[in-house]
Amino acid sequence: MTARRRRTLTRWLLCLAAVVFAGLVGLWQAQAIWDFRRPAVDQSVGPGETAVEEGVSYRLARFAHAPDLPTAPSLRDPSDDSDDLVSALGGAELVLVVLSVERRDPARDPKSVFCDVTLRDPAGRTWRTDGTVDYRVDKPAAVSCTGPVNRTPKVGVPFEVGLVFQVPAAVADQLTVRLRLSGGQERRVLEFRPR
Amino acid sequence: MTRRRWRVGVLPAVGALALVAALTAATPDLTSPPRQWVSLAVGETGTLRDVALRVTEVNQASAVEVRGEPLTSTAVFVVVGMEADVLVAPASFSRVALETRSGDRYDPRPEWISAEPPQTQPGFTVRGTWVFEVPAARVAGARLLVENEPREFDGYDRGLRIDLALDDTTPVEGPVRLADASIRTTQ
Repeated sequence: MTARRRRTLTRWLLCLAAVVFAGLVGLWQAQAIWDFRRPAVDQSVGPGETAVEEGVSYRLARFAHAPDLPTAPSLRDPSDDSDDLVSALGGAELVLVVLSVERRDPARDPKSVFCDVTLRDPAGRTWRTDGTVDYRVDKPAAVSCTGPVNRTPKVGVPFEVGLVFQVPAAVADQLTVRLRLSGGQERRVLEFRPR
Repeated sequence: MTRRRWRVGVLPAVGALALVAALTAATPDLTSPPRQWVSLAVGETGTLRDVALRVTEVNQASAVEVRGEPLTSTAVFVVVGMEADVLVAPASFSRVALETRSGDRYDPRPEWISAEPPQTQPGFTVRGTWVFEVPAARVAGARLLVENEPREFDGYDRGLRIDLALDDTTPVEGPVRLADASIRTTQ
C-alpha cells in the first residue's frame, strides 16, 4: 500500500470512528431518557420480606386501605365524634403504607437515605401521597427514610415511615408500593407486593 | 495548496461549517423547550401525557370577587373554566399561560388559588378556574397554553393550544364569583 493510500485510509477510519462515537453517545442519551421515564424494578419484594440496599433494610410493615381511616389523636376534638375518621372522596379509598426502615451499616450517612414512595397499579398508573389527607390520618410520624424530624435513626434500630394515599376504590386491591432509592452510590427501585 | 488537497481537506470542512450554521439558524429558541402544539377549541378535549383536558367556559370580566370583595382592574380579567381527567401520574397544572396574538404570555393571577385546579391523582377528575389579567387591547385572539409538568428531558413534548374565541366584547361589569376547585373520582 502506498503512503498516500494509507493516509486516505487513516482519514476514512477516523471519520468512521467519529460517526460511531457520535452514535454511541446518542444511544447512551436515549438509554438515559428511557431509564428516567420508565425506571425498571431492581428488586421485587414479597409480603413480609425485607430488602437490603447499601446498608439499609426496607420492609413493608403495613398496607391497609378503606374508605375511612382513624384521625391522628392530636387532631381529634374530644367533644366531637364526627372527626374521628378521615374520609376519602366518594368512590375512592385511603391507602395507609407503613415501611420499616433500619440502618444496618454504620458507615451509611442517615441523612443520605432518600426514598421516593409511590403506588402503582397494573396499568402503570402512579399515585403520590395525598397532601389533603396524609397529615390528618393516624400513622407513624416519620414521612421519609431519613427518619423522624430532629431524631437521627440509630444503627440497628428500625423506625417506621407512614404515608397516606388516595386512589379510586376499584384499584385499591391491585396496588404495589414502589420505593425509588437515592442518596447512595446507586439509584435503585424496589417494588413491594402487599399480597 | 494543490487542487486535490483543497477538494479533500478544505471543501468538506467548509461544508461542515455551513451545515452547522444552517442547523443553528433553523433551531428553535431553546430558552423555552420546543413543543409540538395541538390546536383545540373551547369544549374540545386534548390529551397530554398525564391529563385529558378541556376548557368548559370562558368569560371576560372587569371585576372578580376575592374573599367577598370585588377586585377590579383597568385591564380585563379572562376567566377560564376547565375540567381534566388525570390519566397516568399526578398532575399539578403548573405550566399554564395565556398567549396573546403578539406572543406575550400571562400567568394566572395568584389571588384565586382556591379556584385553580390543585394537584390531582390518576383516576380523578378536577374542575377549576384560571384567571388572567390582560390589557384590553391584547385580549382578542388570545389562546390558552397548557403544557406537561416540568421534568428532565422534556423537549419536543406535546402542548395544548386552546383558542378561547376571545374578541373585543365588553367585559361583564359585576364582580364574577368563582367556585372553589373540586375533585371527583372517575375510575
